[in-house]
Amino acid sequence: MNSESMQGEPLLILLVEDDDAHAKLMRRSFEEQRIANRIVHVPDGETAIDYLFRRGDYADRQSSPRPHLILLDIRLPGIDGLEVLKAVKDSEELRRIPVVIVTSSEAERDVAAAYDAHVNSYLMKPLDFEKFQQVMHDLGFYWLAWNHYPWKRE
Amino acid sequence: MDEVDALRRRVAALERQCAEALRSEGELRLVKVAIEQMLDAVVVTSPIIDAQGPRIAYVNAAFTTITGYNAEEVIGESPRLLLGVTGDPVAEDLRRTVAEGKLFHGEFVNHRKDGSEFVAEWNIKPVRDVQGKILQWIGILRDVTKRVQTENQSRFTNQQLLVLLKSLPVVAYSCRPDGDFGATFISENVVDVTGFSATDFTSDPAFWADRIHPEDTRRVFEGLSAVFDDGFLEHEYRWKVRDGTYRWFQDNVKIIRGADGTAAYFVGAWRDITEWRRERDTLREAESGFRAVVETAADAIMTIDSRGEIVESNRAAKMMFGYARDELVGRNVSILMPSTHGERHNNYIAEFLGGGQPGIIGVGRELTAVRKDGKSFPIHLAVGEFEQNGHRFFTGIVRDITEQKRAEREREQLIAELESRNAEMERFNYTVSHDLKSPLITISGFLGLLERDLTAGNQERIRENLHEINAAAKKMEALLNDLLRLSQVGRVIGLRESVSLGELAQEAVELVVGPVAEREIRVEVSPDLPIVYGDRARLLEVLQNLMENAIKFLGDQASPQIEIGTRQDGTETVFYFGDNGIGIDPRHHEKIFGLFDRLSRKTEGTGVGLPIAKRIVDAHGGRIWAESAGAGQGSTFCFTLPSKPFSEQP
Repeated sequence: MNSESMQGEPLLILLVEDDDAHAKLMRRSFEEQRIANRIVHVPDGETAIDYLFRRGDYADRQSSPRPHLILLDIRLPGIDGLEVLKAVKDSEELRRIPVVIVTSSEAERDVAAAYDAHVNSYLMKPLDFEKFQQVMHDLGFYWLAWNHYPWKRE
Repeated sequence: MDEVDALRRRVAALERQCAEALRSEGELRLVKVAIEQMLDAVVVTSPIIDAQGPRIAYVNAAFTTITGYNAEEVIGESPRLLLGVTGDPVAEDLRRTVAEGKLFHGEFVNHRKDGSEFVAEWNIKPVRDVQGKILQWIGILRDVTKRVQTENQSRFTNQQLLVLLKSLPVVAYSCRPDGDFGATFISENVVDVTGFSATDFTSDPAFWADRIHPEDTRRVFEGLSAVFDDGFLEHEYRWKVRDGTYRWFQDNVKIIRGADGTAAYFVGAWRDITEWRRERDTLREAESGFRAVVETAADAIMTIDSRGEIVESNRAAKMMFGYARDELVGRNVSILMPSTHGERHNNYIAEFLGGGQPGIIGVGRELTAVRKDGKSFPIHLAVGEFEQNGHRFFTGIVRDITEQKRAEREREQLIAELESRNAEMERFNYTVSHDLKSPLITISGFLGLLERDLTAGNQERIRENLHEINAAAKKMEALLNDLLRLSQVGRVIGLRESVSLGELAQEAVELVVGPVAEREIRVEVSPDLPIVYGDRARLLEVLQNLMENAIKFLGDQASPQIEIGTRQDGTETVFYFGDNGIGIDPRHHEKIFGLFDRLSRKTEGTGVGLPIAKRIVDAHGGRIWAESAGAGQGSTFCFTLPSKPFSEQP
């Protein structure tokens, strides 16, 4: 089953995750679910910002298409996930992009801070593999199949 | 011849008779003049007394002066004309006396010619002939109006005085100036005071002395003998009143001297002061009780007047401020405050007196005070106010809170330390829970995938999965090891000693000689690294961690360099590890000392080296921080260490 935008093009997910193994897990999961999307993985906050704001290595628009969904871990080396979230939500251009935090951190203050910064959703990476699969599955379908997006593809 | 003799004798006799007669006449004349000149009136009356009384035969000039009647007017008249109203009992008495032929002496009211009254003193005497027959009556009349008036006045005054004396609360007396000092007069109210009558005192000279309390007798008499020198005495003694009990009396004695200067007598005022003494003693006891409370109070208590002048200060005040007994009273309270405070304190008083906000009054405030030797110290001051005799006074209670402040500071320090430890522990827990969970997620995830891939028989995938699981497990192990290290460092610092930093630096360099050689890192150690004070093994750890860290941060470059040295920052000696490596973004300068915060994926390890170094340096009482201009501009890690044992630091 393919999920496509209203215009029928594959959706792009920006995955900001410093743990390579976790990134792999998530990719594999999306593959298993056949949530056919393009996933761009960046390993830290700074790179994520560069990508989103088309700076540095990502100055070329072609190399950095706007994602439809940002999956964000909170604990990142250097600039942490919360800062990235704030940067996105502060930006007029980017704030419409749904940001979903996917993290191992249960800490209440992280959740609160994320919502204060207008995160769209906050998910925990479950320890149990089956559950992990389930989350990835539901995540995919919800945000990519069910959720409506406000923009036309650029 | 007998005839001649007889004639001669008859002539001589006649001559004698004549001479007699002449002399008598002369005498008579003198007498007459004397009578005429007398101030007292003389009235001579006939011996016959009829219904009207005798008739006036002669009056002298004084009669006219006194009564206003001329001689012509009264001669032949009865002296009764001098009486205004008959029936005056004295006049009756006179008539009777005269009728009986006796002497009369009396005083009664007579009337002058003009009708005015006067008090007449009459002495009336009959003149008898040789046979005893009354020839005349002679009356001497004296105008004693003034005397009578004075007497009456004096009698009246005396009466008044006596009444006054009776009603005074004080017993008035006069007494002899010697012996038993027996009373010669004592006011009647003595009966109310002592139960004894005035007569008891005046009839027995020893009465008063006998009833003095035996213990006081000597003192009383000694005191009385001193009256002769001083002229007066006030003393108190016990005296036995009628019911047998002793009561306290206050005696004010004064000496009255005669014209020649010798003591004529004593006068005095005697008062029962038993109740008064009791009240006074009660008051005194209360007062001394209160005074004792103030004097023995641990806090300084001072009273100042509305000008700020110290009126009273207790012992604690003198001790607290370092002044001797008299040095505080009379001085202005501002001497106890440092100059700016002193002005402010006076302003408080001025404000309060002016009806402004009571700054200190009642509420109490913390201030700085200054001792006599100029040393300042913190105090708590509470001020109260009271009024006495229309003057306002302020009471200040001062507590030296130096100890309290010190304890407060200590407490604050402890709290701050606890808080920071708590915060760190929180961070620690947070970090640990997250960072230990991550590899578990990986393991669990890849195990799941492994299962799938085993079923599918995808060898490559299987290998990949196993690799990830392995790596994650190793990561966990490394994490746990670092955690252990970190918790062991803790606050427990071992024996402190003098340590040569230079030696330690060399050791640290030796420990990394492998990587240094491999990457051709140039390491420079400054020769003037000093001696520091601390736990040798721990300090070596610090240097080691910094060394490893520096190497890590070198990055890829042509000529990697590490410099270990010391520099002076103001009064502090700072040690540093400098590298020309990849540098650190200023935003992360603090983060890197936090647990497991890795800056970049390029660096290896779990990032616990710097946190450990920080813990050790902190525990020694030093500071550690990072300096770097930014990415690509190298970094310098600095720390300070106390050169003296912590306990000896100011």
